[in-house]
Amino acid sequence: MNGAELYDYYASFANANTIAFPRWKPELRNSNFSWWDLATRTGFNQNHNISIQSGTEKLQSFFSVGFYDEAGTVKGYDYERYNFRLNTTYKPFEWLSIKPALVGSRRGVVDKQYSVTSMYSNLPWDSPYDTNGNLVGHRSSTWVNSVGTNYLYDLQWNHSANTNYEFMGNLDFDIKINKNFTFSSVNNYRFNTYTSNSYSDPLSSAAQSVNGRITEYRSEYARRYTNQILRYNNTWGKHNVNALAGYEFNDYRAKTLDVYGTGLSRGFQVLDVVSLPERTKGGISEWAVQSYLFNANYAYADKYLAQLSLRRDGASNFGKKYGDFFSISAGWNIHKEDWFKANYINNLKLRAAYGTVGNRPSSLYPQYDLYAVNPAAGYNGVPGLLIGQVGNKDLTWEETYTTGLGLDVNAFNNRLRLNLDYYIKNTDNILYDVPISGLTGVTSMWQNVGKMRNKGIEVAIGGDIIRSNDLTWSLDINLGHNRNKLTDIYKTRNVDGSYTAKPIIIGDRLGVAGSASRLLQIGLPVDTYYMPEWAGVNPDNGLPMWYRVTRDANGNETGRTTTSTYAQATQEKMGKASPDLFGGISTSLRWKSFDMNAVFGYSIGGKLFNYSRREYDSDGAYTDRNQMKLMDGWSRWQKAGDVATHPVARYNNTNNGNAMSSRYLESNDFFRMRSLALGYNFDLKKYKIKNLRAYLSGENLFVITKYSGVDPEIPTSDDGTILFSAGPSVYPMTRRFMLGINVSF
Amino acid sequence: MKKILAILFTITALSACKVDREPFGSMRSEKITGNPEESIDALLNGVYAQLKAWSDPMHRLGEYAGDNMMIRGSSTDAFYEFISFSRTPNNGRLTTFWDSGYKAIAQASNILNMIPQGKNATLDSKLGECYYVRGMMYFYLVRAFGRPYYQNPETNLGVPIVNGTPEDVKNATFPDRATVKATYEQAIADLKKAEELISANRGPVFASKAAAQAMLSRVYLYMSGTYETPNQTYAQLAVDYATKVINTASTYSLLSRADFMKYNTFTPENNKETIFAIKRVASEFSGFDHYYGVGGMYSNIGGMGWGEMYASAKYISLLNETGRNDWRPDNYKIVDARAAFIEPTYSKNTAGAYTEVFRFIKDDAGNVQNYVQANTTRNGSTITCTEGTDVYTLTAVDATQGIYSINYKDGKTYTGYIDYFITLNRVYPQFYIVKCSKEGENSQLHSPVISRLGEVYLNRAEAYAKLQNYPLALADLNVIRNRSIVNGGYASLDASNAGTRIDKERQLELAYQAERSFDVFRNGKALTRAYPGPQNQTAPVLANDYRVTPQSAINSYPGKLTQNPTQ
Repeated sequence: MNGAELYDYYASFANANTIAFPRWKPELRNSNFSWWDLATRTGFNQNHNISIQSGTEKLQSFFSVGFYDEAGTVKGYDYERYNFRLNTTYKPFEWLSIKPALVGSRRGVVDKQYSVTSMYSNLPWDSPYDTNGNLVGHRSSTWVNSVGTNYLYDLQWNHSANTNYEFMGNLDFDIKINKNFTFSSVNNYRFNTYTSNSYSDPLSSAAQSVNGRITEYRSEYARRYTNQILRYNNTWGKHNVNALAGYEFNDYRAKTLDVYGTGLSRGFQVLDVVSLPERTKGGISEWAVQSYLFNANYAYADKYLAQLSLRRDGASNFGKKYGDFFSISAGWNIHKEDWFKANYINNLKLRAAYGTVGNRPSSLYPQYDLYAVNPAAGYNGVPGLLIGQVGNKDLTWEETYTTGLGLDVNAFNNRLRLNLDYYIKNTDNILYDVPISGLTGVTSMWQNVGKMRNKGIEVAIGGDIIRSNDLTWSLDINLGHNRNKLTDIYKTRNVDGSYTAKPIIIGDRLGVAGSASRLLQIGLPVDTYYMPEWAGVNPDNGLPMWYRVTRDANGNETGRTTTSTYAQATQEKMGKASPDLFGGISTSLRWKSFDMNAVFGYSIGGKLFNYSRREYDSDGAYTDRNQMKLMDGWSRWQKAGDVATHPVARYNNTNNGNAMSSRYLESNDFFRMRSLALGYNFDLKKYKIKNLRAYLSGENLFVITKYSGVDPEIPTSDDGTILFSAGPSVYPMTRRFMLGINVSF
Repeated sequence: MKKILAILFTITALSACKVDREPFGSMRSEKITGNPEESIDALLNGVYAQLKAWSDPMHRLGEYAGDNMMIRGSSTDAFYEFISFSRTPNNGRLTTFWDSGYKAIAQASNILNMIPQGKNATLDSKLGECYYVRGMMYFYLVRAFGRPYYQNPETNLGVPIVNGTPEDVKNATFPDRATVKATYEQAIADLKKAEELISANRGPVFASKAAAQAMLSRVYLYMSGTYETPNQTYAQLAVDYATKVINTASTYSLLSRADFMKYNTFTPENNKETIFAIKRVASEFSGFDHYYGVGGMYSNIGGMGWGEMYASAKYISLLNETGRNDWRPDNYKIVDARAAFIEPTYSKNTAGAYTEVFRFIKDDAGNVQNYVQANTTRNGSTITCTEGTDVYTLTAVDATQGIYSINYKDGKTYTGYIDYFITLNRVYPQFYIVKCSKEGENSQLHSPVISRLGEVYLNRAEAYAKLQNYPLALADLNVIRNRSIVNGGYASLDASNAGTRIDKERQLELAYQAERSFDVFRNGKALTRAYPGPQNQTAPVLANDYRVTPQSAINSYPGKLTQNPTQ
């Protein structure tokens, strides 16, 4: 809301007469500062790449260098990347090829980024500048939120930066033993080092108590990867066999260092100048995986295809380390059959496959019983030992059995394309860090908890609607549908000694207290939300209501009433997060030298818990942060008899209407234009330029959705974990335009 | 060619590596369980280490639910529910209190299960320390999740008794909550065992025989009924255990008034009054860590701390009961020594001067109280103050102490103080609390105090009163009162005033030590909070209100864990 909207909202509070902060006067309505406008800008990105390729029979090489620069749409963040790649293939003898490669990159970030949270949360009544244009300090008595921090104040001096180097070297070689056997060796070493540092000035509130602070963080990791494969390839008559047997090893070792120093002369930025060490931390983490593998492909006359693969994988983060996996598949190129006469069909292929793959836990050492030895386990400056983890010695691979059937059709000169895929994935031994009772001394434990099934269908249909010399227009549509169901939870012991399968309640991984919970229960999707069910607003008094459901011993509902006491609300299953239907649409149009490409995405039938509304749509519970405007179709209860979506708003509201419940669980159906590009190809062959294309493209041009949050797509955390709630600080959706030129010589 | 092939396969075979990896930052349990006695010191340190994590939610749920503090507005934080008494089962802070208390129980129990008692006195003394922590944890859990002991302890539910990590965690089952009585029995049995076994006193940051006795005196006090219907058996036991501690005068003694006013600045080891405190050291805090400690809510020191909770007007007026405490830097005069732990944030204007105001509390619409700080003007001996366009002439009530009254526009007469302007947070003057800060340095560093000799005197005073032994009760009460208020001791004590006076002294003395909310309810009293702040100022909280069990604890519980009725 802007200043006036927020003022009117406050004035509409049922208890507006109790609002008494010093600036609560009619002229407050006129103060308005846009924290959004302050922090955002039009970003500017540059991307340059050059590649050179050349070669002779004996020596071929490829070299490329690139530069990328991004100034984020939130001010104060600049990202730069340089990278190069050098690939060489050297064939000293007919039977030997050696393929050294070197890849390197440097990524650098200069970070004085404006606060994303403040864009949403800071009150429009509070300006970072005083009437003279000077910055206001923290905890300013001139602010309505008089304990707020003015992040711009510290940003006068404070900054941080990080740099990331990555180098990867390969020494691969192939030995052609005879015409059927080849030995291939891939040997890769990747080294990555990340450093970050920050400077907090002695004058800044972040470090005034310690007279300035410098932090340094380093992490480096090395990954070794080697893969030794013996390949066999033979063709006789109509038979073709392609087989391999090999060994693969992959490990990882990371080391971190995390140091703070305090007490410094202004402006100096290295740890050498600090007078006191404040923190010293560092750690090492490792994992390793090795595999033995075998794969064979067989084809008869390119009509009948068969494949078999077997592999045995061992990983460091299991109690039972080894898992065996296999797959078999078959294909039938029907259009190659002699009896197949339909000439308008260019390709007709039927595919079937059955096989397994394994999955590892994200924890590195979940199988061990561990005691913590870190400072949190120490006391009075002396190290100690404290229960850290209860391990699961039996923890083993999560295994997914996939049965797949597919059909590929190309027809009418490849103008019509159709791919159909149907799959059933049965997952055994689902890995989960299961919450366990804190009475054990720990609160979670990695377990293989049960089984689930995913059934789905994927359809891709496309066609060249117009195909002529000057004009082509094609359209491709993707549809995906997946249905997930937990089919089993492994039984655990009851007090009476019997064993039953018990539902598991888990968090949403957002890491914010009071975000959504989920329920793992047999027969339900694994992403089923579980929370108090919102029953709307009581028309008589405007209070929030939730359902209070009673159930019999078998869990069947026997009755439901509403309550305005949040603590009485029962936890209910509130549907699943994932959509019923999702996919994309892409279309391209070419007319003479012009081309145009557009890509759209959509999702229907999913739900997302919009946690941010707990703070920004809080009916007056949170008076120190800005609030959202009511969306279309929302209404606020004001007087007895009002049928409203939103409860009565009160200053310092304690009705709990904003507590975690299905009130904030929203449909996140959307239709979005992901990108649009327009290009023109110049014909400059007479200048020895093979191709020159200039283009203008835009990303994220529009999104149609009823979701009230920033971005309707299911958010993921930095490490890629899917989150089931949208937090209070979502980076704004960035609409991006690009102007580019591609040249080939 | 075949040779090459052979070599390649040999290389492959040799390169088949081990895929075992072990953590660098944790120790495999097998290394400890093989010879636990060797690790006893480190394991015992771990028990105390766990108290560090536990002490944070412990303080918040005990203190915020009382009437010594107020908050400047509703908060996003789960601790706000401790203030608002909207006791929802999904509360992260409450869950942490539950889980971290049980983790200390598990760690202590695992040691007790691994190491048999009776090998030698040194080892037994360490086992005694484990018993102390376990007993203390059960007591703190039952007082938080169970109803007061005087209300049907045989049927009301306490907390589950589970002592140690089970062998097979996946298939373990746990019993439902024990009754309040059974939980107290467990706590007492553990504390008595600690009293019996601990032979070495390693100082006040470790458990000791006296720490066990001090805790037993409090536990029995909680069991001693109300003033109206006391249980004299338990009152006598509270007296007995208090006496055992008070008689160890060589080890513990009350600080002088002057030193007491700096109680928070001494490390526990340099404080003769502290019997047991959970030691925190400066090196455990870096960056913004001091924001997140207990003191960080009560003040902002050196840029660190939210400073959003202040001494309540109720507590301030208790401090001023026998005379005004004047915190103005150029006029500093402390009447009640306990006022030294309050530091109002007087603000200077741009010229560097303080602004004189008349501060009083008025009744607003909707039975809500609010502060007013109105600028004053002096004209000879006449003082006027201005609020908006309204000018009032003040009437002296006690001019030497700066106490005046105002005939306010709402027709009421309010009494207040001439003071300097205190920075407002929203509408609330910031009466910073520093009792949980400033240990040995000007920061939020603080070692939470669990037991100190001052409390033990008050335990005994209350227990004597419940035994109707008013002369001895008065003697103990006056020891504490006279220390803080010069010549403030009472002349007499009897059935008509003992409860009020003792409770008031306990509130004054033990404020910000997480005791207050329990002290109100265990004696059957209602908590009234008619003072400025967002809490419910009108409805008293009755002694039958109690906490719900964390929903996540119920969800993950292997067995039935009965929830408290949600009323």
